[in-house]
Amino acid sequence: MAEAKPASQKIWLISNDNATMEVDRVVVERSMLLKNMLEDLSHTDITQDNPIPIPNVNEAVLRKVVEWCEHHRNDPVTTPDDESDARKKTTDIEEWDQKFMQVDQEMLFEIILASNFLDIKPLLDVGCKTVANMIKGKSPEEIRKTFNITNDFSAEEEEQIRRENEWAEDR
Amino acid sequence: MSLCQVPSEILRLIIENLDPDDLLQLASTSRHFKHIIHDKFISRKVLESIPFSLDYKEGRKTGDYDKALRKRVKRRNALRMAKPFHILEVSSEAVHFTYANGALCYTTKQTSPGHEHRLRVLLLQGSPVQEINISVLQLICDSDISDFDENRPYQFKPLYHADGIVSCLYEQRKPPSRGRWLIIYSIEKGKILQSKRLCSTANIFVRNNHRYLYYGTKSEPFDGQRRWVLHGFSLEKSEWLPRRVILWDLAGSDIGSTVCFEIFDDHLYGVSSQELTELEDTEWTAPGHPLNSFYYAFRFRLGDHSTVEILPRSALWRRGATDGPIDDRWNHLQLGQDEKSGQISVFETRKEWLCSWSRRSCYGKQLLFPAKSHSGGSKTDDQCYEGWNDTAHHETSLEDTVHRGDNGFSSLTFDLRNSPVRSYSPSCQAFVDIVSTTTTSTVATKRLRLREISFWPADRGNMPSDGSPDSPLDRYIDGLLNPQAYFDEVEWATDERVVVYSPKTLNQLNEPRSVVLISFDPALNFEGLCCWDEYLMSPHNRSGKSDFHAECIINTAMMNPESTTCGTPRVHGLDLSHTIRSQDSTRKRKRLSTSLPNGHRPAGFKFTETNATRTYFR
Repeated sequence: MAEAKPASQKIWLISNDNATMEVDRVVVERSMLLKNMLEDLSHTDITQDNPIPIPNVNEAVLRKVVEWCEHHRNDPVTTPDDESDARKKTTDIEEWDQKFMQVDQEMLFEIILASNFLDIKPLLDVGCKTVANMIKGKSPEEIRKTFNITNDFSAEEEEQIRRENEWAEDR
Repeated sequence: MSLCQVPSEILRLIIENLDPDDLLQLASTSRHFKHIIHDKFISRKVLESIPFSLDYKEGRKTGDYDKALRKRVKRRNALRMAKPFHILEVSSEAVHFTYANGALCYTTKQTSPGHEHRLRVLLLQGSPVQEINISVLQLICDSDISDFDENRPYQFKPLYHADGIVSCLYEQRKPPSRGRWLIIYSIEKGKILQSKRLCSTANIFVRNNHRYLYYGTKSEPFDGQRRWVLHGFSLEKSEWLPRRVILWDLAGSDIGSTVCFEIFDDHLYGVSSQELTELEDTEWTAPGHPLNSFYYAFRFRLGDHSTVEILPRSALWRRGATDGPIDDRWNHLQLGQDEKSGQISVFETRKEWLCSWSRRSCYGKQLLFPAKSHSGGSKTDDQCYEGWNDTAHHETSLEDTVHRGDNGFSSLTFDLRNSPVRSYSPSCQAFVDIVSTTTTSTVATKRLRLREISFWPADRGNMPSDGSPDSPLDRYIDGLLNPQAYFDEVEWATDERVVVYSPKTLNQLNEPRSVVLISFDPALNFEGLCCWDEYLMSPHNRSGKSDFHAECIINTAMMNPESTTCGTPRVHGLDLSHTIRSQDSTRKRKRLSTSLPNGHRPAGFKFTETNATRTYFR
């Protein structure tokens, strides 16, 4: 049974490279995974000496994710319906999130993977929109350059793709 | 970690945020992403972001979301790059034509014994493309037109098509009887749904969906002028709606230029770029005069036109006096629906004089009707804005609602006489023109060409083409594009799938003439239409018959089986999807990668501000 949650209750997380960090419970609960986990635990179960392990997420990425959750600690919790609507509507990203996402691509994809693992839908959404915006309006060559994609098509394949793209569709 | 390494479920989430056009670009980067353009789930998600598009509706109907998406991307690219998939001379003996919502309706005149007056409806959908062929005489007889006299001259012309309904106008020309009738015909049912005697045909237009049909004329006398009056017909109940709609304050007479009407969802919308009391030009150009111009916009729910919603002037600012005088011969007015939001906007293309030079631009303005309709009509709406000072009002167009076109400095422009087709595609954000140029070899002959960001066909001689400055292929296409050497004006209709036009001479208005169709739809299948290589290999061509035309036979559904004399029309044309486009690949790549300073662009390459990569009307 869930217990009363003091507003200032602290939770400790440990990254896969053994960095422990103290975070307000309300911030941690931006992660649906951790929120559900905490609801099944007593508030004394998690201590500085017994932090929640976050496998697959290193300290740098975890700190970024916590930073995002800190900033959005008071955001209303979205329902699955709201999320699908919001995703359809726009790829606009609010200014703070845009600045937050100004990181190198390695970090960007790590944040996306971490938010997926921790089930932080709004952060996952912002991350995916950021990548999508990096693709939009670009030619294949520009996309390759942006994401360091190797063009592994043979000359014949390229010709075939060009034809497929230009030729009439199945009739 | 990189884009190639992200798990497939994450990749899908990223791709869902892309526009359909971007999907093809990503799919062309490497083998890893090649599949996404064929993935039904991804295609569906991407098309769901544009729920008001025809492509999404098609995907939902057929379940082939990936095919619908590929068709969309190819079609839009073809239009933006001026690389059509087909060109056809649909008929050389058309008298009247109209194109709307995927159907080209035209009448043909008898030119030889046994060929009677026919109405043909070329349905640009399905595979293969089909044409409905109806005897006009039979149609008139079936319409129960009481005063019809076969021996007196009459005029019969198609007015509109939507949802399988074709509306036509019949007029008996000479007294004593001057009967004028609206005939409503269902293609699916193969019969007349209704015919109605008209009091007036002044500026007549028809709009319909599958439930309601409205026609309007500018015929209601009031205060020494005529007003627009609309009548509604319920297609479901097969009865005329009891009351007519008189739009007392709607000015403008020229549909498509100063006034336009369109049905979106369950409302009929109308917009005018003129006001009832237009100011004299001198007042507009007076220095420092703060006068503004406003649109007039209304809508009403189909079947319930007792309430007409009218937008207040404060929501309809059009332009200020300092925007320069307009050459209103270039004006084009149309309504469009945003594919993402469903929001209705008016798009006006106008040529404005700015000091010593002019520029044609397209201005978009959203029609922000309140979500809930309220009763009262124009007077009530205006009362809400009493005290709003429209002369002191100052507004400028937002840059993302304006597509600034040619100004003559950065690109070649054409005068009105040499730009017979002047259209704008809001969804593709492209000006699509047919321009008339002369060649050095035939200076006296007008040469029609399609022009968007580039010319089609490309200029001869200077282009890096197939080695020949004047190839047989170019000559053949020129012949199709220019069915007659001399013409006074060109009648035309466009949407993002086709350009249809017909050159005519003013002293032979009712004489048979050609209708040319340029198609950007990669899925249209004109059965038998051959591509250039096939044409060259054809026995006719090899036998040296220079006057041979590549022909296709369009399947014809005969509405009157007894009339077998004019069954299958033979259509001259060319399937351009394989030959031309692959030959043009070097040109295309050159064009796309070219970023030359002004004045250093290769001749024959027409670069306007219609840059396909820029996004307008976000």
